[in-house]
Amino acid sequence: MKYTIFVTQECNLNCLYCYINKRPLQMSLQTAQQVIDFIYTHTPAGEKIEIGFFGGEPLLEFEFIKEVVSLIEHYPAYSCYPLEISVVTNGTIFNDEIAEFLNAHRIGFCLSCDGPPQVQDRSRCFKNGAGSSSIVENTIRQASRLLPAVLVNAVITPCSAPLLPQTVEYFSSLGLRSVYLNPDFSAPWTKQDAALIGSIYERLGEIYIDSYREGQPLFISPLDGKIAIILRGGYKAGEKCQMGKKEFAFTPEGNIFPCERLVGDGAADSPHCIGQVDQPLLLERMSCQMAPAAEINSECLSCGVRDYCMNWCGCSNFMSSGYYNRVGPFLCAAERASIQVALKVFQSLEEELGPLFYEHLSGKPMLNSLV
Amino acid sequence: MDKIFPSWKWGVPKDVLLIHSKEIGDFLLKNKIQPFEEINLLESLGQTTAIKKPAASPSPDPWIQQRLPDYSIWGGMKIPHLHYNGKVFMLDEKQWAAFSKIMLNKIKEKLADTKEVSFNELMELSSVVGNL
Repeated sequence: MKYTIFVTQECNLNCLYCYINKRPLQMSLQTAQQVIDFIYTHTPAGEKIEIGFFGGEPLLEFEFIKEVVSLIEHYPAYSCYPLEISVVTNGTIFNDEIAEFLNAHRIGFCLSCDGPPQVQDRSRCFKNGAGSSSIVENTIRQASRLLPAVLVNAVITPCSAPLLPQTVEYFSSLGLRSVYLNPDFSAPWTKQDAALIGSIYERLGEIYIDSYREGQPLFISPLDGKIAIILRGGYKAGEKCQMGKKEFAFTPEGNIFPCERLVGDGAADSPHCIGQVDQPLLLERMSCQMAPAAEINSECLSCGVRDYCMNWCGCSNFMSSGYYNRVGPFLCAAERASIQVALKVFQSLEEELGPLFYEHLSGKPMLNSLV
Repeated sequence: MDKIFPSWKWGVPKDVLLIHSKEIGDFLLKNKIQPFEEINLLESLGQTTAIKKPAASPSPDPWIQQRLPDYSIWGGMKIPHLHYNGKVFMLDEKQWAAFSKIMLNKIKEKLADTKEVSFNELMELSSVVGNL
């Protein structure tokens, strides 16, 4: 079960593509307690609980996060569930105290950064327009020194896509090994962009192969995830998007959304809101965001690689097509490219270096590469 | 490393995640690969578990022996293995190559039948749906 807690909707950055509307709202401890009650009562016995602190910038509310973690750890059923907690930050707020707390409570650290300064400062600026790259780079260096692992997530836009190879090389130069690359599906991707994404992923594949040859493997999400899925023969039901079933996001005032990417302004009258934390869920609201004709995306039904494709990602579909269940053309192009490049990389590396990807087989698709 | 994300180091050791369990079963049978005992990774989540001897086979191949899992690191067992019927089966290098070839051939066949969601079609559909 995946739960995302928006401790605040405030942020000190003003990123061009952010899908969260900023509001001067912070979660109260009472709401946090209700969220935690929801989490423990809605998670089947023994199933893993994943809790992510999100925002806005969650570390603006670091003191509050400490209190929420204490609530989680002191919940009566705490020891009955495997639990993973993480924080997703923009990397502008970090210090020794935060690192110490994250380590003490085994909280994962995922940092959003789009790449080298010329990329980062174009899309991720402070409210006054100043670039964030130098501060975020310092955080990456500091966090890499103080934490056992730093995951970095870069948002890909039509402008930054051609620079993806430089972005990955930049992260690598900072000592980062786990790189997550996520297209902004709400961006105005064109046919030309779709035509280019294959060659961009090919270049990423070359960097990936070189990193293995050098004995310092990089883990790049579009490739590692697809290698795992190729070995497994496709996504299984439990790995696909389960928004509103096994995935919930909570706004500061306790409104519930089926996915953190759909929170928008976070208001109770949002078309994606499926209830409040102290009320029964209104899952029927989700049907309003489904495409009205089943035959939409008939190509997917007969596509050979449909089992290997993330055509099931409700938020990505919504952002690119307006419906949870209708695939956009760029997602289709990006998925085909990543599957083809992953296959090529797999064959090439195993031919050259012998068995390499056995741990991918049973690993978690998005995180299987962590070693 | 093991102080953080304790469950990640176990990966997702569930054969139920595998779609092609029949192929895996056939593969294990054909290659006469025996399960290891004393492995129940789900139950041992968060604990140190040692892998013991194979359930009904001689001592493992030295290649396997050298790669027995080190649970102090993440990412699952650093050894080719399959989960099937709740048991773990260790593979040697040749067996892994044979298994991965099956899965690679499967996707290669499927890639030949790839379809495409076109940009033009999405625009047409948007227009139709918008008029409903």
